Amino acid sequence: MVLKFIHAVDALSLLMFRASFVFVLGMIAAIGYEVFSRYFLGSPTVWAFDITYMFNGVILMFAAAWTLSDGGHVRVDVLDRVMGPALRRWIDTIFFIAFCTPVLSAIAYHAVRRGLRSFERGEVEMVSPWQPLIWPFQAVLAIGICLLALQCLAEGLRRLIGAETAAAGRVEEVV
Amino acid sequence: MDEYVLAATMVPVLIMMIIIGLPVAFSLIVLSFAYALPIFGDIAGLQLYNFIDQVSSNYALSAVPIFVFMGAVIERSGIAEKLFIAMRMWLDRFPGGLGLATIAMCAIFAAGTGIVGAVEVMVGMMAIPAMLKARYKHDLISGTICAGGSLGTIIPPSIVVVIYASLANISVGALFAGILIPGLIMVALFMLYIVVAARRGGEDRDAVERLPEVPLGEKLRLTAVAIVPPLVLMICIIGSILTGIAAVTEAAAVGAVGVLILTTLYGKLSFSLLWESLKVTGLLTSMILLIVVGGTMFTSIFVVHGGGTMVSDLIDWLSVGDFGTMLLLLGIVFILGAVLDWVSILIIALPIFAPIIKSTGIDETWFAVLVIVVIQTSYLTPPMAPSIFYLRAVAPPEMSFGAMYRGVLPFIFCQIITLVIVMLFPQIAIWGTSL
Repeated sequence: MVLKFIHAVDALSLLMFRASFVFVLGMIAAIGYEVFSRYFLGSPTVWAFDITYMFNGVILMFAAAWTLSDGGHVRVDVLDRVMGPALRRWIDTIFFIAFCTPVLSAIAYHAVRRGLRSFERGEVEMVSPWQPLIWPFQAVLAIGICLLALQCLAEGLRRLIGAETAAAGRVEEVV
Repeated sequence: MDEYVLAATMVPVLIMMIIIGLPVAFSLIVLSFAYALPIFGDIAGLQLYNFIDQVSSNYALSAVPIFVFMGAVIERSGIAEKLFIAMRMWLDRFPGGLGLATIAMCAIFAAGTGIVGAVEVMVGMMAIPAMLKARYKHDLISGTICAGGSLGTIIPPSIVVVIYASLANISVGALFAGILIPGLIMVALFMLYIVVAARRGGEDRDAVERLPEVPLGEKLRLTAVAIVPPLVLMICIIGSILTGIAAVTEAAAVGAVGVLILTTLYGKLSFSLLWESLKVTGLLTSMILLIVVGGTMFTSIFVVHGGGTMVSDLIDWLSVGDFGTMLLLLGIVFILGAVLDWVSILIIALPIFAPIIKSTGIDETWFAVLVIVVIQTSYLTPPMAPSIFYLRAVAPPEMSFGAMYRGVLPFIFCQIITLVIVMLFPQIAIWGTSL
């Protein structure tokens, strides 16, 4: 049951991670078009600036959870050998379940509320000449933070049941 | 000092969390939340959300994924192998020619990627076997690889510069201009040392691996194919940033397109190359930016608790003068560099240091260049040297840690000389501010 939950979260994170690939290429294409349009067509676009930072936000938000699952977030491992695997496991379990999950959930709660408010009011970005709707970007932030909270819970549970090294504990990435 | 009690505990608690091996980004976020609660109560979560929004919508930071992607593609494009052969062809006749070729390749590569670890591993895999065959001493080999790998931070365009400039609110272009000359000085010093060491150690006589003499026509052809395109591409990227033709993000995107075209011309473009590069991009970008998110939260909460005034009071109390203050701050950066990676150092140190530097009248760009050189030095300095850990991963088992530590020392000395030169002649670091 717990293992199923962990696998489901992993699978979801991996899916979002792969979705971020589209935005990396999309961002390069958008900026490329902007530069082309400015120098060869004689007019800059109104949307490239907003699209660029928004896509960057999307990449961060969609990729962060899988990066956590993949062990890609920087940590210092000098004390690992001194502490031994059992203590390491307990520290990480407590940190992820008792600290990271509640904190990220609290942030996620506000992210969802903020996004819903913008959606209901149809708020637009005022500083931009393009004036895009805010809610799609805020929805991305909300999804990303929720996913990160879920992944933190999954990481804690994975260590709690001792499945972090067993093959069963990881959805292996198939390229 | 009572009012500073909370602020004073923040940094030690953070360092403790990091030392016991908790992920840096998550330590920052959790700690910020804990310290935000007493001030903001129920809306602490909303405050932290605003920081996530702020970092996610920062236009300047958009250059990060593009540079990472560009570096990942270059790494897999076969440009490196060609470059190494072409460089050896020209530099073989000099003492320590292989070492020189390695540094030259690293310099061009560093311009292409701006990430240190990946460059070092790749260059190491190519250069170590060749140098071993040529009977280079182990310490010279390890020093060369580590020093070459460290160039990623100091040769523009580097991601460190993008992050630094957006955090400290100084011009990215000016900072790129600022690190250009120190970077070149450092490359020159590295090469000079390799020539001297190789001559003394006899590496030039023992160079059994010397390539057969190539006819000039062939040499020129290889140069045109292997050296000129990447070099021109890098010069275009750096040039368009320095002259202000393109924003950093735009130069990065155009550079990425250029690299993709070059990879296609070399016949290496494939779905799996793109896929692998995108994977690296997602992993590294989210790793770096999540630390930026956490760091932004941490320093803001630190300032709310009076941390900023606490630090400047402390500096006043020490009364060591402008120059002393600068040395002190650089020293702190160096010590932090022993435990933390560069993103975390910048994130924690900058927002606290920036106001202090502003109040002293020391040029911010000059200080930034010095910080970047110091970060690069701490990357190389034992006992906690990331460069040596990366080297260990690709070095043959008979190469000892002792040889590695001995090997990097002369190169650290070269970096210190560079640091002193920049200190004595601030003009080489700040000429870009007036562009």
